[in-house]
Amino acid sequence: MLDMLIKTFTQGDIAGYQSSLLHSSFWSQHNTKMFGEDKLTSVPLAWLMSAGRCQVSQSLVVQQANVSVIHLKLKTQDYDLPVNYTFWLQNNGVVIKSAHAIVDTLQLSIAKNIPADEITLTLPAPDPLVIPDYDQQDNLQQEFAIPSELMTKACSLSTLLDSWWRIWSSSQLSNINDVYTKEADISLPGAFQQKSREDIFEFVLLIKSKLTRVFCQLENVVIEGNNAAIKWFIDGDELGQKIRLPFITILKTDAKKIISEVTTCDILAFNKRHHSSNIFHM
Amino acid sequence: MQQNNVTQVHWKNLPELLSPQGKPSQSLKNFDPEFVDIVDYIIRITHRIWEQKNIALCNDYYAEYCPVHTLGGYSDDVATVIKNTLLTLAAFPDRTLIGENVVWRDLGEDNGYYSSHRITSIMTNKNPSEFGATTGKTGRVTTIADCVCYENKIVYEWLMRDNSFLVKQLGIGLIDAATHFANLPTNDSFETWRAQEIARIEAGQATSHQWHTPLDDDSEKFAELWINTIFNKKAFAEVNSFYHKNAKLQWPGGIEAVGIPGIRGVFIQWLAQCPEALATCDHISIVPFEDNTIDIAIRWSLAGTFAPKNELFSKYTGQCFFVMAATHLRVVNGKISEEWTVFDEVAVYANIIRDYNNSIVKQGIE
Repeated sequence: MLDMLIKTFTQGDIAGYQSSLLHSSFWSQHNTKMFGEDKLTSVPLAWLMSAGRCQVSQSLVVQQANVSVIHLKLKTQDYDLPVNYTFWLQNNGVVIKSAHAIVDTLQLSIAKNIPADEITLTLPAPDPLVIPDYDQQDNLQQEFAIPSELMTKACSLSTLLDSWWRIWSSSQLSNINDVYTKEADISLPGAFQQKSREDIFEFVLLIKSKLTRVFCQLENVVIEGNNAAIKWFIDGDELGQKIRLPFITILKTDAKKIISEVTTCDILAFNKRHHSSNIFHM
Repeated sequence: MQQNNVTQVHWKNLPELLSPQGKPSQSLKNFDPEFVDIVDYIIRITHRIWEQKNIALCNDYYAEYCPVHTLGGYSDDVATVIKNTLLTLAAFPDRTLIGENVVWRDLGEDNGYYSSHRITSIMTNKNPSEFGATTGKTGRVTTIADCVCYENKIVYEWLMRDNSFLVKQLGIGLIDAATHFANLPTNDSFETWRAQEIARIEAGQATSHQWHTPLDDDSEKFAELWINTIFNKKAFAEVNSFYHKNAKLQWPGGIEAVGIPGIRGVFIQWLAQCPEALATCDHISIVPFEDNTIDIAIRWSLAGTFAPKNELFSKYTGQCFFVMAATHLRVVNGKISEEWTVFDEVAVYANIIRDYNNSIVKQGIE
């Protein structure tokens, strides 16, 4: 899968990409779910039209059962700054059944020196989304998913991941120093510089301070060795409007603490869907 | 005959599905010998009719008398099936049908098979359609087609399509689409069926379409309990006993939820527009999927009195709210991990608007 993705998204090996897909495969990206040959082929083509030829400067795979989570740091030709592209693939080793991919489009805009508005215009129209209102409080029901409950077998990372999740789900910011090493290498959406655990503190507050009735929902957790990949989203109210902000986070650990994190979020696609949002004010 | 080897579409590519190998896994009495099982039959005839545009094959694969129920109309002759297929293809010439799952039930040698086929369609609107003028936009829509297949023909069909999701992608407002649809001619058979169904549901009676081949007892109870607990009792606290904590749900019009609070919110918000509604579980099919996983297809109906939350619909307060829906559940270790519920929300509101308009005309006459 890694080889196929690299050839597709750096060199334009469309035939290899198509042979990895089923008639019933879908590819979800930029808040749009794409089915059918025409739409599926447009995914790598649209990327190459925006990014041009590129090289992989870093890659990471976290795999468990029939899910592969692949992160590529892609450097576009003639430009120095890399762009995060993360793929969450349901596959059987031969073909992909479904893909949920997140491109850091804000990074792409900055890396290529293209105005964010221009990139936004090239993104597909987001799928209609209705987020029905709900009670975001647990009310002592213990109904909220936590990482250790989504793991299919006992895992030494469960306590660490549960602590990490509480930073987001319960705003337990004081966990940050407990779960990250002091030198942790952290990559956050829209930024290129290596971030520190202090920046995580700021990033959580940046988002949460602009929302009310915030709710964090885990979708899936994949563990391989000391690494974990987490698919999750934030729902919240922003000036009376419901918003949804999807993320994929990949954590590398030394089994006790997090030594590196890549969190990917498609900021421009988020702004296109929620055009009155002020969370990522440009 | 062992039915454990019936085609499973999930990991199969189209060429493989179109050229099945091996011996038949079901008896398929009086079906063409080329078909190996009911899933193969459904997948291949759908491909031939829609993607190969071989509409004439409807004559071969639909019975001459074949009742087809949708929330927007009724027909019972193959000529209408052909006409509607042709009109849809004219409005959406590149319509591609992607079979996502077929959940089936053996109805016994004398009754054939029940198939609940979940399809994703991609299509570009290039000519006027039932929703209004040409938009030129491409849309995606989920359909669930429930069919009774007997001796190589579809003899009965219930067709559910998520038209509100489609019209939103085409840039048409839900109320505009419903108003346009409400102004199209209806027929007496449809109105008679709708009135009978509403009366049946409100009386809590089972549908007359019953088959008695056995189902897995626990799964059947689970499906019936799901309908009764959520839609009839409105016991939303029990959502957590049906769904995993990271369960995903897709409902018409782009409603998406993950997790217990969000899923509970979907039911509360949706049922709030018809608070005293009653539902009936009309059919259940159950097939195994992968380890510890089963797929359940439920066809269900709901009726009550419309109490709109949306101001645009306020004048329709008190009209009859009627839904014919299909739900596919993926159940892992006894709880739902994924749900797809499909019904035609455009037709739901169109029926309400038409009833209201008719009542105004009637009042005027009186």
